[in-house]
Amino acid sequence: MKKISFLFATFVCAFFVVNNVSAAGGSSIPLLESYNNLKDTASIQRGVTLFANRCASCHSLKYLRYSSIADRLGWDEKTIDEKLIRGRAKFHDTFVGGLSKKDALATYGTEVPDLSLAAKYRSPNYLYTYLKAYYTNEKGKTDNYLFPGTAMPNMLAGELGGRAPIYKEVNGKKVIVGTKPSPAPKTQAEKLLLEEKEAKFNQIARDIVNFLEFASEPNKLERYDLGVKVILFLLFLLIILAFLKKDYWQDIKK
Amino acid sequence: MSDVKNQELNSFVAWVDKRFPLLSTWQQHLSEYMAPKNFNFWYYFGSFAMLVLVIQLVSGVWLTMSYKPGSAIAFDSIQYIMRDVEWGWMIRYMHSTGASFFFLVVYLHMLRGLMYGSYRAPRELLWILGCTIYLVMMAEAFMGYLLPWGQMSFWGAQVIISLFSAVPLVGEELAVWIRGDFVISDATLNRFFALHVVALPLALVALVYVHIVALHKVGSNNPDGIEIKENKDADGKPVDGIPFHPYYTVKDLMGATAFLIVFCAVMFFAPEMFGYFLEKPNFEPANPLKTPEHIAPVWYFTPYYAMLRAVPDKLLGAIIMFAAILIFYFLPWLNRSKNKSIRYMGWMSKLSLAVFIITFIILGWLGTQPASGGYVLAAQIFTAIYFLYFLLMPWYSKWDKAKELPTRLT
Amino acid sequence: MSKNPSPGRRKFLTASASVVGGLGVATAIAPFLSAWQPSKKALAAGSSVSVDVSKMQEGQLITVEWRSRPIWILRRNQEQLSTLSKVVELISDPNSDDSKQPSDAKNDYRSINPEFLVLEGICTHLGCVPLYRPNKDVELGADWEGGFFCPCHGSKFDLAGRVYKSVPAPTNLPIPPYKFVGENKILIGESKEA
Repeated sequence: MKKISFLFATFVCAFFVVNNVSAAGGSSIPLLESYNNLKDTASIQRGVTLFANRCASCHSLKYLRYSSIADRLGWDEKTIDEKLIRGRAKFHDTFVGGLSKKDALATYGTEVPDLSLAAKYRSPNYLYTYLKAYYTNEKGKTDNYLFPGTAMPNMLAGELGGRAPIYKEVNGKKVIVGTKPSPAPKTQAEKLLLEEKEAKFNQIARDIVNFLEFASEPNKLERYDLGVKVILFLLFLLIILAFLKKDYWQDIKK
Repeated sequence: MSDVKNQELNSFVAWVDKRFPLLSTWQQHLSEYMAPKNFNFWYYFGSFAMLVLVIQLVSGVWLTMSYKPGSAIAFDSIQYIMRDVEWGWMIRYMHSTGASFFFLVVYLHMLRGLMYGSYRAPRELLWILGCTIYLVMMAEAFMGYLLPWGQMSFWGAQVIISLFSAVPLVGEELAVWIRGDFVISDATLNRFFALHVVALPLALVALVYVHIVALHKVGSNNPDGIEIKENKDADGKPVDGIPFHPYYTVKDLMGATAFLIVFCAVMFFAPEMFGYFLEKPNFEPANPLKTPEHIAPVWYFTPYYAMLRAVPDKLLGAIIMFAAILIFYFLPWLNRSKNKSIRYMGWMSKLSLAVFIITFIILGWLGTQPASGGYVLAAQIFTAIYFLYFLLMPWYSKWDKAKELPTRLT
Repeated sequence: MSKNPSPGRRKFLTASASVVGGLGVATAIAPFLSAWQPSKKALAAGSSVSVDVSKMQEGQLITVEWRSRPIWILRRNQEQLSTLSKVVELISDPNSDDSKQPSDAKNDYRSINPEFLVLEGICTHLGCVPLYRPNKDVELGADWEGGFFCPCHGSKFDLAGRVYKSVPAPTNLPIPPYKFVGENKILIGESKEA
């Protein structure tokens, strides 16, 4: 038994070492922690509204159904129609939004990605960092340090005001790791005001990310709930079977 | 009352038994199949593998009901399963988690064979059948991974099928023939689908059946590596054997439940396993015009992928990769030690097995990393060690000091 | 091997393991059965369909699709409505007691507004789509006053979808849930009662 536990511990450790090392690798730009919480219904409610107003004119969510949003947010058909559908679709339909390929190419020179699975092929932290990564470069142009040269305009520019990059050395390379207010606040009162503004902005970004994580897998919370029940049941069954096994095996002489 | 019922049941069984070998099969393979009484933890994995096979077959059949092969519709149909089909998300996660657990369990099952010499005479054929199961499983998993038609599906298949173009003379034609097109395409997807859901599962089930028939012919090995059939009592039953049913059925049921707890923990709480079971780029639809920054196969293939990349020559790399898998077939004839089980071998065998396990894990990790600089060098070194474990075995297993075997199971 | 010291205990444990394990297996099967239910996509396709009937002429039949089934809307004129009372004797379920319809369409006309008949165009026998035969037709009998005729096995229905006696179809043609939204707009798939 000792040997077994040792071997298992080795495997588990090996896995986590491997996992951490590879997580640290990849992109050298550190991601910010989004602290989004899928259980925060109010946040997803704000997120979906923000998405509908600021993102949906270009981005589609072609796999997300209004009925799934209704189920999660506790909104009835009427509320969903007033807030999101506005007569353009039916309750069980998928989210209306996005530019046609032709319009996208004409406007941005690139296709606009569908965001149904954005939180899966990226991560919530990536999306959060991306929204916060806009800044004004030396040439006075807006850029995004996580996705340099992104075609997407900063839809939240008004919320935060001007930003300048913060540089840091990572693995011997000078990279941007964040942004700071630009111009810098002069007085304490100004500083406090900007901090408050940033906190508000963070919440907006977090709400959108929260909604997008929900959109990437609407059943996630249901999955967690069911998982707990299934595992508790199996534990109970395991106990009975352990007693049964012990009862049978007392026949066998060592 | 219950006696009457019993009689009815018995006469029914008798009726069937006249027409089908029901009782004798039951006796031969369960109630009178004598298994060594000292099976330890490692002997669970065979039955776990059977359990996962059943999970894969059932969930697979159900996925086939809603999945649509076709380059324009496959990706959408996965999301249809995940979101629109009642319980579709659970059935799909069951299948994707099952794929990884199948390999996990089979790797541990094989390791058990390596440790206790389960491939040694008279179990060579049993081992060869097992290796073939492993090979078919790899083909099954590889083809199954194309079906979601994500970026990693597409580019993983593209890279591996391109390997065939390294074959001298006919290579290019061979690769085109396998794909049915000049790149991975709709035609490839449809033939992989047919093989994944019909041909290979049939082969797998047949092979598993034959594997068990072969096992029950020669009898199970055990952690001591001594034959229980050599020590029989007056009735001709092995002294150290116990009937598989009820002792091992009840033990395996207990084990299976514990296994399912681990399985469900992953399936419900981390089905993507931080990008190791379901890779992130695969949530983007296949795009033949854009390769992901970094292509890595699913974790169970990464040791071989690392070996493939370790060799700078295309043909040689492919040969090394396939050789690394096929070399398992020769184990029964490479091991020359007097005893079967690692328990009764000297330090050389123990050390080499330990080094081999570590090598395999490190190669697996290297396969997930980008193929650059130090990683390639490391992969080359560990590929060499991997092969040395097999190629030097005839010598170190012979030179190694064998310990004295007990006469009875411990 | 030694004798089992307490058979009662073993029996109890075996029974509890069987019951709990069996319960687990049964519960595990349930999702697989549920997976055969209509998916959300099917629900989306099966949600209500609205039809504008203002441009329909008298005696005209149109077919719309709802839940992949043909739904007929027939605008009946006075003459057609008057046939309903004439054929009552020939009808097997004139009051639609054994047939399927929303309660506000369970009347002599089998409709909410007598002028507009809404029917599921699927024969209650074996699911063929009957034909609309509005005129007198000797082939269908001397007393044929117009209605629907199923070519598969010869079932006959009158202009309210009521089934004739001694034909294979057991019940009247079903009426889907529907309601009027506005004077000339019918919403198929939703009923007032729901």
